[in-house]
Parts: sequence; C-alpha cells; structure tokens
Amino acid sequence: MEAATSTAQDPNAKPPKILFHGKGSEYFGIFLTNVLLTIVTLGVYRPWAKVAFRKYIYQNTEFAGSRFIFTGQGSEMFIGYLKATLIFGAIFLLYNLGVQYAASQLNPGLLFLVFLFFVAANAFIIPIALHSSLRYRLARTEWRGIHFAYVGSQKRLIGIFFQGLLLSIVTLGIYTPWFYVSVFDEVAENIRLGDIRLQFEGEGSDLFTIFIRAYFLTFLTLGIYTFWYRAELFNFLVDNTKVIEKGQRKHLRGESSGGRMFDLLFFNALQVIFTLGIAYPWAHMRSLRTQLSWIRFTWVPDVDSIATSPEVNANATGDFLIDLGDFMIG
Amino acid sequence: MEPTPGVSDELAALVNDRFEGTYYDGKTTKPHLAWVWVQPGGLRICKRLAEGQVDEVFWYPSGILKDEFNNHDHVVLRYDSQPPSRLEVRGQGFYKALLEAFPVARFQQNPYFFVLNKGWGAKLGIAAGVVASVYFIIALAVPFMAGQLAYNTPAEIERQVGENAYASISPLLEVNEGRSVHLQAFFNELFPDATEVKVVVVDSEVPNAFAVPGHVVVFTGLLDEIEREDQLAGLLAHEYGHIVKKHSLRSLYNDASIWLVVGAVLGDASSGTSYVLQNASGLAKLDYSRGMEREADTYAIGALKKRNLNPRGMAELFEILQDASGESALEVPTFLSTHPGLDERIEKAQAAAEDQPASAPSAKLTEAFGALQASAETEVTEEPSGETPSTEAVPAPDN
Repeated sequence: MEAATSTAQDPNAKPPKILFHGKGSEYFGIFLTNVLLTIVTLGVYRPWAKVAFRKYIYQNTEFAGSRFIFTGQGSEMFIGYLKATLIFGAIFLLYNLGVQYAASQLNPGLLFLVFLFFVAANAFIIPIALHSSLRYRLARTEWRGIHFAYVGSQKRLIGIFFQGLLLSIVTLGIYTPWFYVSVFDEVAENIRLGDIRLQFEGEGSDLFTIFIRAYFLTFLTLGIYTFWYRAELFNFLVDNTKVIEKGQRKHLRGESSGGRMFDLLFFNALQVIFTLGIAYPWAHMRSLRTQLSWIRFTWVPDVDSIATSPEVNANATGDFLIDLGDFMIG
Repeated sequence: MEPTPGVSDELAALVNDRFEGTYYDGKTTKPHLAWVWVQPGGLRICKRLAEGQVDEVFWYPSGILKDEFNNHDHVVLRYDSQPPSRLEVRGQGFYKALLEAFPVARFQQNPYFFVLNKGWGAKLGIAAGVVASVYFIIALAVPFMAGQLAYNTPAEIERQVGENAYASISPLLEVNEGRSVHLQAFFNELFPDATEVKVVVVDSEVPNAFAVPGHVVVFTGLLDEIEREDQLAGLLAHEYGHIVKKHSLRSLYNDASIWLVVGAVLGDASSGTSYVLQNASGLAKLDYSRGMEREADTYAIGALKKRNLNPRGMAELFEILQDASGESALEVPTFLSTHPGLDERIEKAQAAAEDQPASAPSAKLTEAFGALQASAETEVTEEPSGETPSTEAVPAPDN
C-alpha cells in the first residue's frame, strides 16, 4: 500500500501494463444469459445485455492496480436504442420508398438522386453517431473514481466527414487513408482524462502505404498476409497515439506482429468454427487479453494526481447508431 | 494503530477484523490507504488523508451503487456521493464478508451472479433455455404467426405476390401453349371452383412442377412420364394444395420474421452467435419447407378421394420422380432437404390408398386427359422439344 500512497515518483518503478482478467468461463455465463434474455424479449433486452457485457469487460481491465468501471445504465441505453432505431428506420424507409418510386417511374436520374440522398444522410449521421457515442462511452468510463470525457465539437467532426468522404469519392478512394487519419486526429485530440489528453501523429501517407501493400500482398499470398496487415494497422494506431501528460509528449508502443496476430486470430477462428460458435466467449476474452498486452507504455505516468475531467452531457443514442449502422470506423 | 500488548480485546478485534483497501474521493486519482470494517449497518471506512491525518466515512448498503461485476479477489465498490467515491479491496475474504453481512442489499443483486456463482449447472440450464427458446420461436411461434398473417392477407395482395413471382420467372420458361390449353382444361375439370388459377406446360427435360399464387407450372420432363388420370390429378392436386394452403405467403412471412428475430438478437453482432443462429434458422426453414410439402400431400390425397380417384396414383407419381431423380440426384439426408424423402411420401400415399376402391375418373376427366395425351403425340412428330433451361435458372424443384 505504501507505493500507492506516496506521491513522489519512484525512480525504479516500471511502466504500467494494461492487464485483462476476463475469463471465458465467466463470460460464457454472461453471454448465454444475454442471448437467452434477448431472444425471449425479441430484442428488447439488447441495451441491458450491452451494459452487462461492458461492465464485465471494463471491470476486468486493470491499469496501474485499479480496475475500470462502465457506469452506464440499461435504462439510458434503452432510450438511446429506441432513438437510434427510429432514426435508422426513418432513413431506410425513405431510401427504400425512394428507390421503389424511382424504379416504378423508370427514372435513372431520380434513382441517382435517391442514392445521393442516402450517401449524404450517412455522411451526416456517421459523425453524429461517432461524436455522441464517444461522449457517452467516455463519460461513463470510470477509473480510480474519475471519469473520462470527450470534448470535441460535433460540427467540426461533421465537416471533417463531409470533406473526407467527398475527397475520397472524387479521388476514387485514394484519399481514404488521409480521411481516416484526419478522423483519428480529431478524436484523439478531444479525449480527456483530467488534464491528460491524446494526440494522433500518424501520417495519411503511411496508412496509404499500409493499405497498398495489403492490397497487393493479400492477393499474392492468397490472404495469408491479412495477419501481417492487421498487425501493421494495430501498431500504426498505437505507435502514433501520443499521451500528453503535463505538457509532455509520451509514447506508446504497439507490440503486435504478423506471427502474433496469426496465433491469435487463426486459432481463435479454428476454435470458434469447430465448436459451432460455443467457444466464442473464450476466443473473445483471449482476443481482448492478448491485444491489450500488446500496448506498451514507455514511461511511468503519474497516475496519482489526475483531477476529474469536465462534465459533458451524454446520451446513448450514438452508441446504438454505431451499433446498428455497423460502421467501419476506428 | 498497531495493536500494543495489554490493549482491550475490543481494540484487538477491531484490528483483526479490518480489511485493507484503497479509497478514491471521486475528485482526483490520488489513492488513500483505507481500513474497512464490515459492520451490520454498513461499511465503516477509515482513510488516511496525509501523514497522521485520518478521516472516517460510513457507507450504507443502500447508497452503494449497483453496477459492478466484482471479482472475488478484487472488489470495487462505488458510493452514491457527490461525486461518487470508490473503494477497492484486494484479496479473498472481503467479497465473502460483504455477501454474509448484506445478503439482500441492492448492490449485491446482479442477476448475472446467479449464473456466475452457480457454476456449470446454471450455465447448462441457460444453454438449454437458449436452445429451447430458439426452437420455440423459429419452429413454433414464427410459423404460427406466419400462418395467421397469410390467412388474413387480402386476396388482392396475395394475387399480386403471385403475379410478381410468376413475372420474374416466366422469362426463363418456354411455355408450350398448345399443351397448356389441355392441361388447363384437365385442371378445371378437377377443380371447377379454381378458375383464377393459370396452368401451363413448360418444355424442359427437368422432371419438375411448382406453384405460386394463381399459377401452376408443370415441366414436360414430368408430364411425359405420366400415364394415367389419377397420377396427373395427384400432381395437380399437390400443387393446388400449395396455393390453397397459402404456402408462398407463409414462407415469405416466415423467412421475414426469422430474419427480423435473428437480426434483433444479433445486437453485438458477434460472429459466434450469428453463426449458431444462422445455422439453426437455416435448418428450421428446411423443416418448415418439408412441413408444407407434407401438408400439400395430405391435401392432394383428400382431393383425390373426393373425386373417386385412388391415392395410389400419387404413390406412382412419386415412384416416377424417384426413377427420374435416381439417375442424377445425390442422396441428401432428409433433414438437409427441402422435401420429405420420396420413400416416406410413397408410403403415406399407399397407406391412404389401401381401403380405397380403384380409380373411377369422371368421363370428362378421362376425355381431358386423352386430349392432353394426344397433344403430346402430335407434337413429337413436329419437332424435338426446345433448349432446356439450365437447372440453375429453374426455381427450386417442387414436386
């Protein structure tokens, strides 16, 4: 206990690790209960299932001797779930009616307009979903008695998405890595734990190289390169995320590799397939434990004097928009 | 606070019963060494602020927030203060002490603990519950609802569905207009009330027939093998059975509902669940499809008897199919097939035929059958049947 109560930095202290204690056997029970209750309530239980899942995962994640806690409630998640379902329902209904009408009129111009509406609606809704999801999740993530915060501007994020999507379409996808990097930039910049914040330093050109290499090598190696690609992506994200602590820039190291990724993903997949999905909870826990262990801290952070983060109003709508839309972001 | 010799028993007990933990005040991440006593009314927490400075708080069980999945060897509690404070206690014993002291406190009530603490028995029970509820929904509830919906769907909508379905297949079908007229006449003789149903003959070597609302399609590959009125009546009655029992609408509703249910359940779109559920719903759909075939067979047997036709004709029809498919088709286990096994269907028709008199078709039916047979013979001399549509383009066999 002495180490925890001392405020002075111990010169011999080792950088902390993120430890994950989740067990497949425990998660299996939670997972089964979630599936059962979701089925018998025809999906109404989903928000509560999600809360239970997150609470279990968070509470079994330990950093510097303390556990994380997800403090969200099923009831607030349920309201978010309803709102997200309505928003998505409305968009898809409009889109489908539009397509049917345009098709019945045999009007390709109108069909194109309907399609354009759909793209624009998505360009609008993805950043809104991402923004409110980040606000909610981080506001409900507690560690050592204080919570995280996301303080970004929604307008700015929408602007980044419109510009990024437009340029990506115009350049036939070549701009996409720069677009992704601009989103990572904006998101990292606005994550807070007290006065600690993040910064993303990755370059679009580096991500572009990773994508291009993956494109050709995956094809040439009949898909085997996928594991190396996933490892490169993991390390790209971790290595380029800087932690700004008391004005100083600190580095994280991503310690994934193609071989490690292969060990993890290939054997997880085998396990899940050959047990007809029953081993899924074990695979999921192993995946979290392993990937969290690949994030290395290169310094000893001062974890004992972080003050609480600014309060943000948060609701769970975005969380479910992300969930229902199944967007490939981040 | 070290116990000193000669101190009262009370103090010694205090020292022995304490748990050591870390307290966070909710304002900063600064850890405070804390001693915790589990008392009947709540938790007495003595925390060290700085060297020699001590503060004491008391946590009532009702104020402890109920949101944690606590590990037995690392308990985290939060208290509903402003801002919420946190207590972490490592090591075995504290969890048990809490459970013993406040067995019914709100913060201890986590329904998941029922599963987590009960071990494998409870997990197996829940697993059985999952299987049972999936079965109940997919095999019983959804088909029942689909049936109710189908019988309450306005006839006009059903007609539209049939027209759309037929319109989308018809470009692939080479309709033999000449023979269709005679098959239609035979059908109208068999089912005089079903004037809305269009019956056509399609030139194709595939031994097949199918029905959608308002349409029955018979391929020459099957029609040419038929030798008697009661065999053809069996075939048409089976196909008409699909129409009467609204099988198209019911499968549509059934598939859509299963899709909705599976979609609703796959919240955290986890590959594991989706894999299991999709397999289960796929098998259930096949079972549903076999159920509809049996229903159509039953309908056809009843219809034959009413018209003084012996169901043995149906049995012979299935034997024809068996011969035709025996040459080409792989043996598919029944549970993986859209249709019940032909052996099973032959047996059923033969059982129904046992105490029935021999077929006595009406004169008009015989006449219509004769005309149909004659139309086939005149044609053979004209030209060989046209190009066979590829089996892939043909809708699922439905015989």
